[in-house]
Amino acid sequence: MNRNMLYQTLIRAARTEKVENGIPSGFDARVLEAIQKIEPDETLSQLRHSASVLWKAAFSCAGVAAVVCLTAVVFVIQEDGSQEYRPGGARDLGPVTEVFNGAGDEIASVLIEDLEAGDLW
Amino acid sequence: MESEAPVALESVSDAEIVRAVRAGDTEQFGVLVGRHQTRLFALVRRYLRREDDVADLVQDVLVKAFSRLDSWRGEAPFEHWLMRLATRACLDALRSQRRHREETLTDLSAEETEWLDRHAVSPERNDHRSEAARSLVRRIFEQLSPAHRMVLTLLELEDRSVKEISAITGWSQTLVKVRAFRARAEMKRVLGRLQTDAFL
Repeated sequence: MNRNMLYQTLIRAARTEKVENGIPSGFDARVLEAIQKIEPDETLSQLRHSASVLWKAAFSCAGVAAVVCLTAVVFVIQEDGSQEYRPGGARDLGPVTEVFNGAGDEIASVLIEDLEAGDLW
Repeated sequence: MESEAPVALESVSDAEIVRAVRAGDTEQFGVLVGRHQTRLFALVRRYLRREDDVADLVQDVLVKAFSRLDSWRGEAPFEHWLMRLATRACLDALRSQRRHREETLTDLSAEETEWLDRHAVSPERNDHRSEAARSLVRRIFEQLSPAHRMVLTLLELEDRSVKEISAITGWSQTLVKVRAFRARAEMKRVLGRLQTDAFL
């Protein structure tokens, strides 16, 4: 028996099959009922979606912050003309530095006075 | 005073109804169900035999469509998108059925065996419109792998083009051609087994 001929005959047979086109009664109501049941889950999935969007926004913000930091560092180096990185706040302490320097001198003079008076030994 | 004429639902496009459903009017989804359920049932009945399974699957497809309504961007007609969802659901159902089925081709009925005998003697005269032939081809299709069964159904029974099958299934056109070639080969192998079982 020719297999190709059998194949063609069976395909022709399958094509003659009439597909029923009836719909169960009340099917649309059944679907709407099923949809009402899933709506709370849908709200949850929307919340999940919002959360993922917020995470993406947070990562974008972190990226922008990193770029701003890098830019600030580059500007500090250019201002100094040096390649050494020094935080801006530590460069010029002004009066604070003077107070500490003065304090050192005062401590030294008190120690010398004590030595001379023989109080320490 | 002239009152505004109510808009007939038939004249409202699928896209407009989808917009209304997205805006929160879920009852409008019933209109889409009413419009497309006949085609959905016809499609699913190609692959599933039991009416309960068919109705359950169509319901699942429609519920899934409702949940994923935001993913329909309106580039293709809503019906195409829906049919694509249904086709994929059918493929999943066939895969799941195949895992649980144990029926083999040795369970042929007397009418089917007789039809095969007649075909062996005079293939030109054998009636392809008989119920035995149809039931035999149903059995053979059930022996095929789900993807092969789907591609043969779309290509040979529904006369779809390779491009259309590609759009419906999401497979590339090359994959559709490869699967069609392999599906025909698999079906002929099953037929060979059938002939061996029947005549040896």
